[in-house]
Amino acid sequence: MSERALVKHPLQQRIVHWYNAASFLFLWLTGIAIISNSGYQIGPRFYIDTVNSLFGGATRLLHFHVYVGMLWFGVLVVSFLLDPHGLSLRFLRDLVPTRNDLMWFKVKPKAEIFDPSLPMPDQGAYNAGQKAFGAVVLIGSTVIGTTGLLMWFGTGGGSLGRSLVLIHLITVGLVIAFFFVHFAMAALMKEERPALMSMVTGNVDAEYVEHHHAEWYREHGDEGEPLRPAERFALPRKVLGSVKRLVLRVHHAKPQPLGSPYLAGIGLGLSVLAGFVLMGHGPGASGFFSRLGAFTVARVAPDQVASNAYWSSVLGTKLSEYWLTWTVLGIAVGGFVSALIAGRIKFGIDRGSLISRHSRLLFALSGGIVVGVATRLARGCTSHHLSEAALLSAGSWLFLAAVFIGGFGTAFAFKKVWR
Amino acid sequence: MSTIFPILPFDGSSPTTYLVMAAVVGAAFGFFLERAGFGSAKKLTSVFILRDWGVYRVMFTALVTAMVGAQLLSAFGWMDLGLLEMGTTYFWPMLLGGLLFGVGFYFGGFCPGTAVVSAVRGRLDAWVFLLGIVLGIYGFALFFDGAGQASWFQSFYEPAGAAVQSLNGHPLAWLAAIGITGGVILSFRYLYIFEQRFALKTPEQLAGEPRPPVVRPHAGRSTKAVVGLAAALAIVLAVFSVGADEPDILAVGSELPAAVAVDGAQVPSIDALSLAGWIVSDANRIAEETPPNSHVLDLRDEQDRAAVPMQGTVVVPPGDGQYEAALAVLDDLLITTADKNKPLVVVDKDQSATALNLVTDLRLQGVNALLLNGGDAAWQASVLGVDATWPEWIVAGAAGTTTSSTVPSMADYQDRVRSWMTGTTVVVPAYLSIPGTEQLPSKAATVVATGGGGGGCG
Repeated sequence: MSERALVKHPLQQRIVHWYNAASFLFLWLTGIAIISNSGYQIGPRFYIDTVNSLFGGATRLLHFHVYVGMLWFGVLVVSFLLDPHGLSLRFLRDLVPTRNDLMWFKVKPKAEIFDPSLPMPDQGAYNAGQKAFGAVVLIGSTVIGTTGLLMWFGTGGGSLGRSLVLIHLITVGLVIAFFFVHFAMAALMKEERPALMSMVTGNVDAEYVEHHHAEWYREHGDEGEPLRPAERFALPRKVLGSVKRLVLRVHHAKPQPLGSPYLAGIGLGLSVLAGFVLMGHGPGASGFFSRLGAFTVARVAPDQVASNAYWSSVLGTKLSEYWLTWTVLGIAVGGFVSALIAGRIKFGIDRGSLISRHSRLLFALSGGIVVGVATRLARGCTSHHLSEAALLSAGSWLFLAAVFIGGFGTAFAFKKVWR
Repeated sequence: MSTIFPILPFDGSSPTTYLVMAAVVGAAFGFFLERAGFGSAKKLTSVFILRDWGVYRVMFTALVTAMVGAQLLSAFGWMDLGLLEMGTTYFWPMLLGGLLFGVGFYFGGFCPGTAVVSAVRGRLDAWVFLLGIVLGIYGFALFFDGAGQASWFQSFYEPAGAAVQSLNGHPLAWLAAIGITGGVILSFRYLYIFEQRFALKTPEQLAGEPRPPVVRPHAGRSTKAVVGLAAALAIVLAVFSVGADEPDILAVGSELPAAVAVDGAQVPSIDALSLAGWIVSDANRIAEETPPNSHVLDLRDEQDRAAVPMQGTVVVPPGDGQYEAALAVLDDLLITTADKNKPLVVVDKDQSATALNLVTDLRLQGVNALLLNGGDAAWQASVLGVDATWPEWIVAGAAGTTTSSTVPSMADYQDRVRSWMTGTTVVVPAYLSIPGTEQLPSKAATVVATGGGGGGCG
């Protein structure tokens, strides 16, 4: 043993580890006592009875389990996602599997059984076995915490509720199975003692890591991995950074020129025809915005909508069961996909060269208001009337003609808006 | 005629399948809106300053495609156009609404569907426009509930007698479709004049150089292809439409409707006995919760109805707006049965002008309307008259729709029908009876007070 110690686990990381360990232990011990009367009973009867009486009844035991569970999960999630010291990202990075890990899984069993002197492939901060356990705990904690919350706050019964319980228990079982190996390695095996000590003192012997974690030693051999100010909030910064990069890449994509208007028109017409064929109705849009308004106002002042002569009838159907809601969602998705393919996602404002951004937004708002009123008078917008004009409806042809007349007239009088 | 489309006709209910279809159709629609460049307010409004007619090209190509497609599917006998949802025509609201829409379209830069596409493209003005739509509709709802309740607005917004006015389902609709297609393609040929005359000025032109003269561009290969395709489809449409069957006129027996001359035109009619057969068999169909094969519109007043009773009719009493009310009722019937091919018999005291005009108008709209030959006098003589002798086919036709195997004697049947029609029946004949009911239950006369109905949609 050399005298040189390297920093392996900063204090915050050790706190999380032991906090996790203590919480797991408490939750396992109480959990085993909770699953007594269902078909899953694991613990012996006397244990269940003892724990139940210790906590003062099954209900209070369950509450203890749930509230401690929420505390455990809540603190873990917040600290992990916020990543104030940059340890989350470090942890995630250390879990990434490498080619050497694969080899480790091949060599390690042979070394344990036949020949302890077999050379092991170089390992990073954690060896492949530790990585596997880390991944199981990370994913398992997420699943256990999420299913636990759903079981508590969800509706409970039904096949969904029962499968949640099953997933909760199976995941716990999986984590416990890995935990036994982890515990055996760290606590019982003498040559792994430095690894255990690194989780107690935070430091690890340089000679030990040179042998067991050669890759990590090559990189951090002089002082280990102390906390670095530059790594603060690393995980959220990294996530936001990649989102920003993606958005900017999409925004700066080179837009494709428009294709033939006739081809686009034929596609549009076939979509309308598909509407006739499938559901006896072409697509529309404005009806959705009427409902959206009604439901929004109803959220604030239900009486106002219920007593309104125009809106009172629409609250009968949920917004999510109104077909135009889904049509408009479809339009949004279809439009987004097309724009994405064509590199036409661009953040900003379309305006004529003679008006300012503020006037443009004011025009958009007032134009929207006028169009909103117009759709109510005309019983639909251009999408709806385009469909019905294709079915030779007199009113729809009248509407379309009027739209063009109104548009040409306004453009003639107010040329500057879109010059 | 067995049609397969529409797969799931619109009926106001929204099963999950319907919602999925709505989303899929919406997605295709949104995709092609964006393909056309409709996610940009600049592109959309450039048609109004006459600079770029892409919007016009796309819109009318889409319209023609959907129209020709629908007509072709109908001509092949695959689609029942009567099952498609059709909006009522409200002349003044739609004219004014359209003009206002045009104004808002130009200032706002969008229509609702295109604003959604532009919004997901990341354009802030589209989000503001959508907010404006919701605010505008909210304002309209407030107005409608307040000042809009005044009769002047209501009679403007929902005028009495407004009806579906459409060539949809008309026997000559295919001809209109071909005509519109030709007109649209022809109009495309001349758009270049505007586009060159109002093109964005080059720096040289801004400096005072005159615009070059308008030159007709050569038709590209795609233009030729589109015109050729349209012509081929028009020929197919014409061939199939001319050869297509006329709507079947339902006949219980072998009697064919006799024609009655009106102002030199022939109006198809039905004799009283056939009508009795239809009404009884339809009463049975309704009791078995199957849609009726026909409808009867009774235009007589209360006195005449009491004198010559008749069951199973929809009553539209005379008075102001009777004609409009009848059209509105018809609108309802066609929506509920969604089948214009089903006969609609118009009954009046004699062959009144109202009845004759109604039948003529309805037939022009593609409805299989018939007149009761001889009016209620014929009904009194052949159906209610004790001396009348009925042919056998009436019993066969009526009994054919029941589950009972007992076929009655003619005299018995005649008595039963007569007493049911006059409303004096107590016991239901076994061959007409439905388990658990005491009396021929439905299709009793429905009296309609006024027209109207229908709601905002789209």
